[in-house]
Amino acid sequence: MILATVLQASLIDVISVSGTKPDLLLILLAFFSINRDMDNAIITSFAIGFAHDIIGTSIGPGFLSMGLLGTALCYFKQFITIKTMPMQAFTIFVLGFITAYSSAILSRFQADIPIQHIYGSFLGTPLYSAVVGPFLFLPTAWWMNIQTQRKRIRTKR
Amino acid sequence: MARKQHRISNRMLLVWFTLAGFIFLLAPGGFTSRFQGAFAQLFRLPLRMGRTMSLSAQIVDSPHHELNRTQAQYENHITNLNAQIEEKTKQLQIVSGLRQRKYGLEGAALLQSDVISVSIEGPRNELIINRGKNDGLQQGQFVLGDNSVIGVISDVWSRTAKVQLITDINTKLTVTIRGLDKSVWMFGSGDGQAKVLWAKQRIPAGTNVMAEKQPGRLDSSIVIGKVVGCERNNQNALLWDITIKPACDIVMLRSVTVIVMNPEQ
Repeated sequence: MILATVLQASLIDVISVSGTKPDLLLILLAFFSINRDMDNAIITSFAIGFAHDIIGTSIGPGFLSMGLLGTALCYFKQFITIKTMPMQAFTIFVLGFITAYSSAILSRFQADIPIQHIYGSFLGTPLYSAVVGPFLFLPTAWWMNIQTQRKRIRTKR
Repeated sequence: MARKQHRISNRMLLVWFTLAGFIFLLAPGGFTSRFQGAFAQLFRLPLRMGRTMSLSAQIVDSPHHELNRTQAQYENHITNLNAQIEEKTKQLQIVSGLRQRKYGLEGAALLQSDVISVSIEGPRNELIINRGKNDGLQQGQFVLGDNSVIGVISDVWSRTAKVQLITDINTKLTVTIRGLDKSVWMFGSGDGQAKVLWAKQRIPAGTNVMAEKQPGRLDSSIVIGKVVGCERNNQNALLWDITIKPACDIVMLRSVTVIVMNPEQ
Protein backbone atom coordinates (compact mmCIF):
# COMPACT_ATOMS: atom_id res chain seq x y z
CA MET A 1 0.00 0.00 0.00
CA ILE A 2 2.89 2.34 0.77
CA LEU A 3 4.35 1.56 -2.66
CA ALA A 4 1.01 2.30 -4.30
CA THR A 5 0.73 5.57 -2.35
CA VAL A 6 4.21 6.75 -3.37
CA LEU A 7 3.60 5.72 -7.00
CA GLN A 8 0.25 7.49 -7.01
CA ALA A 9 1.85 10.67 -5.69
CA SER A 10 4.73 10.74 -8.13
CA LEU A 11 5.18 8.34 -11.03
CA ILE A 12 1.58 7.85 -12.12
CA ASP A 13 1.72 11.09 -14.17
CA VAL A 14 3.74 9.14 -16.78
CA ILE A 15 0.59 7.33 -17.91
CA SER A 16 -1.79 10.26 -17.55
CA VAL A 17 -4.01 10.96 -20.55
CA SER A 18 -4.85 14.67 -20.87
CA GLY A 19 -4.53 15.16 -17.13
CA THR A 20 -6.58 12.07 -16.19
CA LYS A 21 -4.68 9.34 -14.38
CA PRO A 22 -5.71 6.02 -12.83
CA ASP A 23 -6.13 5.82 -9.07
CA LEU A 24 -4.01 2.93 -7.79
CA LEU A 25 -5.45 3.28 -4.30
CA LEU A 26 -8.99 2.97 -5.66
CA ILE A 27 -7.97 -0.24 -7.47
CA LEU A 28 -6.43 -1.57 -4.23
CA LEU A 29 -9.58 -0.63 -2.33
CA ALA A 30 -11.73 -2.61 -4.76
CA PHE A 31 -9.30 -5.54 -4.67
CA PHE A 32 -9.22 -5.81 -0.87
CA SER A 33 -12.98 -5.31 -0.52
CA ILE A 34 -13.68 -8.06 -3.05
CA ASN A 35 -11.05 -10.56 -1.91
CA ARG A 36 -10.81 -10.15 1.85
CA ASP A 37 -13.04 -10.96 4.79
CA MET A 38 -14.94 -8.24 6.62
CA ASP A 39 -12.32 -7.61 9.37
CA ASN A 40 -9.49 -7.05 6.91
CA ALA A 41 -11.69 -5.16 4.47
CA ILE A 42 -12.66 -2.58 7.12
CA ILE A 43 -9.08 -2.00 8.24
CA THR A 44 -7.60 -1.85 4.74
CA SER A 45 -10.42 0.36 3.40
CA PHE A 46 -9.88 2.99 6.07
CA ALA A 47 -6.08 2.69 5.74
CA ILE A 48 -6.34 3.22 1.96
CA GLY A 49 -8.65 6.19 2.57
CA PHE A 50 -6.06 7.67 4.92
CA ALA A 51 -3.28 7.13 2.35
CA HIS A 52 -5.47 8.78 -0.29
CA ASP A 53 -5.93 11.84 1.94
CA ILE A 54 -2.25 12.02 2.87
CA ILE A 55 -1.24 12.50 -0.77
CA GLY A 56 -4.26 14.69 -1.40
CA THR A 57 -5.08 18.04 0.08
CA SER A 58 -7.05 17.42 3.27
CA ILE A 59 -7.46 14.54 5.69
CA GLY A 60 -10.94 13.23 6.43
CA PRO A 61 -13.11 13.09 3.29
CA GLY A 62 -11.24 10.21 1.60
CA PHE A 63 -10.75 8.39 4.90
CA LEU A 64 -14.50 8.34 5.55
CA SER A 65 -15.79 7.81 2.03
CA MET A 66 -13.28 5.12 1.03
CA GLY A 67 -13.52 3.39 4.41
CA LEU A 68 -17.30 3.23 4.43
CA LEU A 69 -17.70 2.37 0.74
CA GLY A 70 -14.99 -0.30 0.85
CA THR A 71 -16.78 -1.87 3.81
CA ALA A 72 -20.10 -1.62 1.98
CA LEU A 73 -18.61 -3.34 -1.09
CA CYS A 74 -17.28 -6.14 1.12
CA TYR A 75 -20.77 -6.57 2.56
CA PHE A 76 -22.50 -6.58 -0.83
CA LYS A 77 -20.12 -9.15 -2.33
CA GLN A 78 -22.17 -11.76 -0.44
CA PHE A 79 -25.00 -11.08 -2.90
CA ILE A 80 -23.06 -10.28 -6.09
CA THR A 81 -20.33 -12.37 -7.71
CA ILE A 82 -17.42 -10.18 -8.83
CA LYS A 83 -15.14 -12.65 -10.57
CA THR A 84 -15.02 -11.68 -14.25
CA MET A 85 -12.90 -8.79 -15.52
CA PRO A 86 -15.83 -6.73 -16.90
CA MET A 87 -17.58 -7.07 -13.54
CA GLN A 88 -14.43 -5.99 -11.71
CA ALA A 89 -14.05 -3.00 -14.05
CA PHE A 90 -17.67 -2.01 -13.49
CA THR A 91 -17.23 -2.32 -9.71
CA ILE A 92 -14.11 -0.11 -9.77
CA PHE A 93 -15.91 2.50 -11.88
CA VAL A 94 -19.00 2.64 -9.63
CA LEU A 95 -16.87 2.61 -6.47
CA GLY A 96 -14.64 5.40 -7.85
CA PHE A 97 -17.59 7.52 -8.90
CA ILE A 98 -19.40 7.25 -5.56
CA THR A 99 -16.15 7.76 -3.61
CA ALA A 100 -15.27 10.91 -5.56
CA TYR A 101 -18.79 12.29 -5.15
CA SER A 102 -19.03 11.56 -1.42
CA SER A 103 -15.49 12.93 -0.84
CA ALA A 104 -16.52 16.13 -2.59
CA ILE A 105 -19.59 16.45 -0.40
CA LEU A 106 -17.56 15.79 2.77
CA SER A 107 -14.91 18.32 1.64
CA ARG A 108 -17.52 21.02 1.97
CA PHE A 109 -17.32 20.60 5.75
CA GLN A 110 -13.74 21.86 5.56
CA ALA A 111 -13.99 24.56 2.89
CA ASP A 112 -16.79 26.15 0.97
CA ILE A 113 -16.04 24.50 -2.35
CA PRO A 114 -18.59 24.69 -5.17
CA ILE A 115 -19.31 21.09 -6.15
CA GLN A 116 -19.22 21.75 -9.93
CA HIS A 117 -15.46 22.24 -9.71
CA ILE A 118 -14.93 18.56 -9.07
CA TYR A 119 -17.04 17.07 -11.89
CA GLY A 120 -13.91 16.42 -13.96
CA SER A 121 -12.55 13.89 -11.47
CA PHE A 122 -15.93 12.14 -11.08
CA LEU A 123 -15.78 10.32 -14.40
CA GLY A 124 -12.25 10.46 -15.82
CA THR A 125 -10.33 8.89 -12.94
CA PRO A 126 -12.85 6.08 -12.19
CA LEU A 127 -13.09 5.28 -15.91
CA TYR A 128 -9.31 5.08 -16.37
CA SER A 129 -8.98 3.06 -13.15
CA ALA A 130 -11.72 0.67 -14.34
CA VAL A 131 -9.81 0.04 -17.58
CA VAL A 132 -6.46 -0.55 -15.83
CA GLY A 133 -7.72 -2.09 -12.57
CA PRO A 134 -8.71 -5.66 -13.57
CA PHE A 135 -5.25 -6.16 -15.12
CA LEU A 136 -3.62 -5.14 -11.84
CA PHE A 137 -5.83 -7.51 -9.83
CA LEU A 138 -3.84 -10.53 -11.03
CA PRO A 139 -0.34 -9.43 -9.94
CA THR A 140 -1.77 -8.08 -6.67
CA ALA A 141 -3.51 -11.39 -5.99
CA TRP A 142 -0.28 -13.24 -6.79
CA TRP A 143 1.72 -11.01 -4.45
CA MET A 144 -0.87 -11.24 -1.67
CA ASN A 145 -0.87 -15.01 -2.03
CA ILE A 146 2.90 -15.04 -1.51
CA GLN A 147 2.49 -12.91 1.58
CA THR A 148 -0.17 -15.25 2.96
CA GLN A 149 1.99 -18.30 2.33
CA ARG A 150 4.95 -16.69 4.11
CA LYS A 151 2.71 -15.94 7.09
CA ARG A 152 1.52 -19.55 7.15
CA ILE A 153 5.12 -20.82 7.10
CA ARG A 154 6.02 -18.47 9.97
CA THR A 155 2.95 -19.61 11.95
CA LYS A 156 3.90 -23.28 11.45
CA ARG A 157 7.41 -22.62 12.74
CA MET B 1 -4.50 -20.35 32.66
CA ALA B 2 -5.39 -19.68 29.10
CA ARG B 3 -5.09 -16.04 28.05
CA LYS B 4 -8.45 -14.49 27.41
CA GLN B 5 -8.66 -13.13 23.88
CA HIS B 6 -10.50 -9.89 23.26
CA ARG B 7 -11.99 -9.83 19.81
CA ILE B 8 -13.40 -6.59 18.51
CA SER B 9 -16.58 -7.00 16.51
CA ASN B 10 -16.77 -5.69 12.95
CA ARG B 11 -19.50 -3.28 13.91
CA MET B 12 -17.38 -1.79 16.69
CA LEU B 13 -14.39 -1.49 14.37
CA LEU B 14 -16.50 0.33 11.82
CA VAL B 15 -17.89 2.70 14.45
CA TRP B 16 -14.42 3.53 15.76
CA PHE B 17 -13.01 4.22 12.32
CA THR B 18 -16.03 6.32 11.35
CA LEU B 19 -15.65 8.34 14.52
CA ALA B 20 -11.96 8.82 13.78
CA GLY B 21 -12.93 9.95 10.27
CA PHE B 22 -15.27 12.62 11.60
CA ILE B 23 -12.58 13.78 14.05
CA PHE B 24 -10.15 14.14 11.12
CA LEU B 25 -12.81 15.92 9.10
CA LEU B 26 -13.62 18.47 11.77
CA ALA B 27 -10.10 18.87 13.19
CA PRO B 28 -8.23 22.11 12.35
CA GLY B 29 -6.38 21.99 9.02
CA GLY B 30 -3.09 22.86 10.71
CA PHE B 31 -3.26 19.66 12.77
CA THR B 32 -4.21 17.25 9.98
CA SER B 33 -1.76 18.76 7.50
CA ARG B 34 1.07 17.60 9.78
CA PHE B 35 0.39 14.03 8.59
CA GLN B 36 0.82 15.17 5.01
CA GLY B 37 4.00 17.01 5.95
CA ALA B 38 5.35 13.94 7.71
CA PHE B 39 4.61 11.75 4.68
CA ALA B 40 6.25 14.23 2.29
CA GLN B 41 9.27 14.45 4.55
CA LEU B 42 9.58 10.69 5.03
CA PHE B 43 9.20 9.78 1.37
CA ARG B 44 10.68 12.88 -0.21
CA LEU B 45 13.41 10.96 -2.02
CA PRO B 46 11.16 8.47 -3.87
CA LEU B 47 8.57 11.19 -4.44
CA ARG B 48 11.13 13.51 -6.01
CA MET B 49 12.63 10.71 -8.08
CA GLY B 50 9.21 9.70 -9.34
CA ARG B 51 8.33 13.28 -10.17
CA THR B 52 11.59 13.85 -12.03
CA MET B 53 11.00 10.70 -14.09
CA SER B 54 7.44 11.66 -14.81
CA LEU B 55 8.45 15.20 -15.88
CA SER B 56 11.21 13.80 -18.09
CA ALA B 57 8.68 11.55 -19.81
CA GLN B 58 6.36 14.51 -20.40
CA ILE B 59 9.20 16.68 -21.77
CA VAL B 60 10.13 13.95 -24.26
CA ASP B 61 6.53 14.09 -25.48
CA SER B 62 6.75 17.86 -26.07
CA PRO B 63 10.21 18.80 -27.51
CA HIS B 64 9.45 22.55 -27.64
CA HIS B 65 8.64 22.66 -23.95
CA GLU B 66 12.03 23.98 -22.80
CA LEU B 67 12.00 26.66 -25.49
CA ASN B 68 8.49 27.80 -24.56
CA ARG B 69 9.41 27.78 -20.91
CA THR B 70 12.51 29.94 -21.43
CA GLN B 71 10.46 32.34 -23.52
CA ALA B 72 7.85 32.57 -20.74
CA GLN B 73 10.63 33.20 -18.19
CA TYR B 74 12.04 36.10 -20.23
CA GLU B 75 8.61 37.56 -20.88
CA ASN B 76 7.79 37.44 -17.17
CA HIS B 77 11.13 39.01 -16.31
CA ILE B 78 10.61 41.86 -18.79
CA THR B 79 7.08 42.45 -17.47
CA ASN B 80 8.42 42.59 -13.90
CA LEU B 81 11.15 45.06 -14.86
CA ASN B 82 8.66 47.28 -16.70
CA ALA B 83 6.38 47.23 -13.66
CA GLN B 84 9.30 48.18 -11.41
CA ILE B 85 10.33 51.04 -13.68
CA GLU B 86 6.76 52.31 -13.74
CA GLU B 87 6.47 52.05 -9.98
CA LYS B 88 9.78 53.79 -9.34
CA THR B 89 8.87 56.60 -11.71
CA LYS B 90 5.66 57.15 -9.76
CA GLN B 91 7.54 57.10 -6.46
CA LEU B 92 10.12 59.57 -7.75
CA GLN B 93 7.39 61.91 -8.83
CA ILE B 94 5.69 61.76 -5.42
CA VAL B 95 8.51 61.57 -2.90
CA SER B 96 11.74 62.59 -4.54
CA GLY B 97 14.54 62.85 -2.03
CA LEU B 98 13.40 60.16 0.41
CA ARG B 99 15.55 57.05 0.78
CA GLN B 100 14.14 54.19 -1.25
CA ARG B 101 15.40 50.82 -2.31
CA LYS B 102 16.80 51.01 -5.79
CA TYR B 103 15.50 47.76 -7.21
CA GLY B 104 12.57 45.46 -6.58
CA LEU B 105 13.30 42.55 -4.18
CA GLU B 106 16.60 44.22 -3.25
CA GLY B 107 15.99 43.50 0.43
CA ALA B 108 14.79 39.97 -0.11
CA ALA B 109 16.52 36.61 0.00
CA LEU B 110 15.45 34.40 -2.86
CA LEU B 111 15.42 30.84 -1.61
CA GLN B 112 15.60 28.16 -4.30
CA SER B 113 13.73 24.96 -3.45
CA ASP B 114 12.78 21.77 -5.25
CA VAL B 115 9.22 20.62 -5.77
CA ILE B 116 8.52 17.33 -4.00
CA SER B 117 4.97 16.81 -5.15
CA VAL B 118 2.19 18.65 -6.96
CA SER B 119 -1.47 18.25 -6.20
CA ILE B 120 -3.67 20.12 -8.66
CA GLU B 121 -6.67 17.86 -9.00
CA GLY B 122 -10.02 19.34 -8.20
CA PRO B 123 -10.44 22.60 -6.34
CA ARG B 124 -7.34 22.37 -4.14
CA ASN B 125 -4.12 23.25 -5.93
CA GLU B 126 -0.96 22.81 -3.86
CA LEU B 127 2.76 22.09 -4.04
CA ILE B 128 5.04 20.57 -1.44
CA ILE B 129 8.59 21.93 -1.47
CA ASN B 130 11.78 20.79 0.24
CA ARG B 131 12.38 23.90 2.37
CA GLY B 132 10.83 24.60 5.74
CA LYS B 133 11.09 26.38 9.06
CA ASN B 134 14.80 25.51 9.30
CA ASP B 135 15.41 27.57 6.15
CA GLY B 136 13.50 30.60 7.43
CA LEU B 137 10.21 29.95 5.70
CA GLN B 138 7.02 31.37 7.18
CA GLN B 139 3.34 31.33 6.31
CA GLY B 140 2.30 33.98 3.82
CA GLN B 141 5.60 34.27 1.95
CA PHE B 142 5.28 34.56 -1.81
CA VAL B 143 6.56 31.80 -4.09
CA LEU B 144 7.86 32.39 -7.61
CA GLY B 145 8.06 30.00 -10.52
CA ASP B 146 9.67 31.06 -13.82
CA ASN B 147 9.85 34.68 -12.57
CA SER B 148 6.13 34.87 -11.82
CA VAL B 149 4.13 34.55 -8.61
CA ILE B 150 2.64 31.06 -8.39
CA GLY B 151 1.40 30.96 -4.80
CA VAL B 152 1.83 31.60 -1.13
CA ILE B 153 3.28 29.42 1.65
CA SER B 154 0.30 28.00 3.54
CA ASP B 155 1.85 25.43 5.91
CA VAL B 156 5.42 25.17 7.15
CA TRP B 157 7.05 22.14 8.75
CA SER B 158 10.67 21.73 9.79
CA ARG B 159 12.10 20.75 6.39
CA THR B 160 9.14 20.96 4.05
CA ALA B 161 6.41 23.45 3.28
CA LYS B 162 3.11 23.55 1.45
CA VAL B 163 2.45 26.19 -1.21
CA GLN B 164 -1.13 27.20 -1.86
CA LEU B 165 -1.19 27.97 -5.57
CA ILE B 166 -2.88 31.03 -7.07
CA THR B 167 -5.41 28.71 -8.72
CA ASP B 168 -6.46 27.08 -5.42
CA ILE B 169 -10.10 27.66 -4.50
CA ASN B 170 -9.09 29.25 -1.17
CA THR B 171 -6.58 31.72 -2.63
CA LYS B 172 -7.43 35.40 -2.44
CA LEU B 173 -4.81 37.95 -3.54
CA THR B 174 -4.85 41.62 -4.47
CA VAL B 175 -3.72 42.23 -8.02
CA THR B 176 -3.43 45.14 -10.41
CA ILE B 177 -4.53 45.00 -14.03
CA ARG B 178 -3.77 47.70 -16.56
CA GLY B 179 -7.09 49.29 -17.44
CA LEU B 180 -8.55 49.03 -13.94
CA ASP B 181 -7.85 52.11 -11.84
CA LYS B 182 -7.79 50.27 -8.47
CA SER B 183 -6.26 47.03 -7.26
CA VAL B 184 -8.77 44.17 -7.22
CA TRP B 185 -9.18 40.80 -5.49
CA MET B 186 -8.21 37.75 -7.49
CA PHE B 187 -9.72 34.40 -6.47
CA GLY B 188 -8.47 30.96 -7.44
CA SER B 189 -11.16 29.06 -9.31
CA GLY B 190 -9.77 25.55 -8.82
CA ASP B 191 -9.67 24.64 -12.50
CA GLY B 192 -6.12 25.78 -13.22
CA GLN B 193 -7.23 29.39 -13.52
CA ALA B 194 -8.10 32.37 -11.35
CA LYS B 195 -10.83 34.97 -11.57
CA VAL B 196 -11.41 38.63 -10.88
CA LEU B 197 -15.12 39.19 -10.36
CA TRP B 198 -17.19 42.33 -10.89
CA ALA B 199 -14.59 44.38 -12.76
CA LYS B 200 -15.90 47.72 -13.98
CA GLN B 201 -14.25 47.58 -17.37
CA ARG B 202 -13.67 45.03 -20.08
CA ILE B 203 -10.04 43.93 -20.18
CA PRO B 204 -8.58 42.60 -23.44
CA ALA B 205 -7.07 39.11 -23.53
CA GLY B 206 -3.30 39.04 -23.11
CA THR B 207 -3.18 41.87 -20.55
CA ASN B 208 -0.68 41.19 -17.77
CA VAL B 209 -1.94 40.75 -14.23
CA MET B 210 0.47 41.84 -11.50
CA ALA B 211 0.53 40.75 -7.85
CA GLU B 212 0.24 43.91 -5.79
CA LYS B 213 3.13 44.64 -3.46
CA GLN B 214 2.52 43.87 0.20
CA PRO B 215 4.72 45.43 2.89
CA GLY B 216 6.92 42.80 4.51
CA ARG B 217 6.13 40.14 1.92
CA LEU B 218 6.58 41.60 -1.53
CA ASP B 219 8.15 45.00 -2.13
CA SER B 220 7.61 45.11 -5.85
CA SER B 221 4.83 44.16 -8.25
CA ILE B 222 5.48 40.82 -9.93
CA VAL B 223 3.61 39.26 -12.81
CA ILE B 224 1.10 36.62 -11.75
CA GLY B 225 -0.72 35.78 -14.96
CA LYS B 226 -2.39 36.89 -18.15
CA VAL B 227 -6.01 37.68 -18.93
CA VAL B 228 -7.47 34.92 -21.10
CA GLY B 229 -11.13 35.85 -21.03
CA CYS B 230 -13.57 38.56 -20.02
CA GLU B 231 -17.28 37.85 -19.80
CA ARG B 232 -20.25 39.82 -18.57
CA ASN B 233 -21.25 39.04 -14.99
CA ASN B 234 -24.33 36.81 -14.71
CA GLN B 235 -26.00 38.99 -12.08
CA ASN B 236 -25.02 42.44 -13.28
CA ALA B 237 -24.58 43.03 -16.99
CA LEU B 238 -22.61 46.24 -16.36
CA LEU B 239 -19.78 44.36 -14.65
CA TRP B 240 -17.23 41.91 -16.05
CA ASP B 241 -15.72 38.65 -14.82
CA ILE B 242 -12.08 38.30 -15.83
CA THR B 243 -10.44 34.88 -16.23
CA ILE B 244 -6.71 34.74 -15.56
CA LYS B 245 -4.22 32.03 -16.54
CA PRO B 246 -0.97 31.64 -14.52
CA ALA B 247 2.10 33.12 -16.21
CA CYS B 248 3.93 29.78 -16.16
CA ASP B 249 3.16 26.08 -16.50
CA ILE B 250 3.02 25.19 -12.79
CA VAL B 251 2.73 21.42 -13.35
CA MET B 252 6.08 21.31 -15.13
CA LEU B 253 8.04 23.22 -12.48
CA ARG B 254 10.90 21.32 -10.89
CA SER B 255 12.04 24.12 -8.62
CA VAL B 256 10.52 27.29 -7.24
CA THR B 257 11.83 30.39 -5.45
CA VAL B 258 10.53 31.59 -2.11
CA ILE B 259 10.77 35.31 -1.36
CA VAL B 260 12.04 35.80 2.19
CA MET B 261 11.76 39.53 2.79
CA ASN B 262 14.30 41.24 5.06
CA PRO B 263 16.14 38.06 6.15
CA GLU B 264 18.08 38.17 9.41
CA GLN B 265 21.33 37.03 7.79
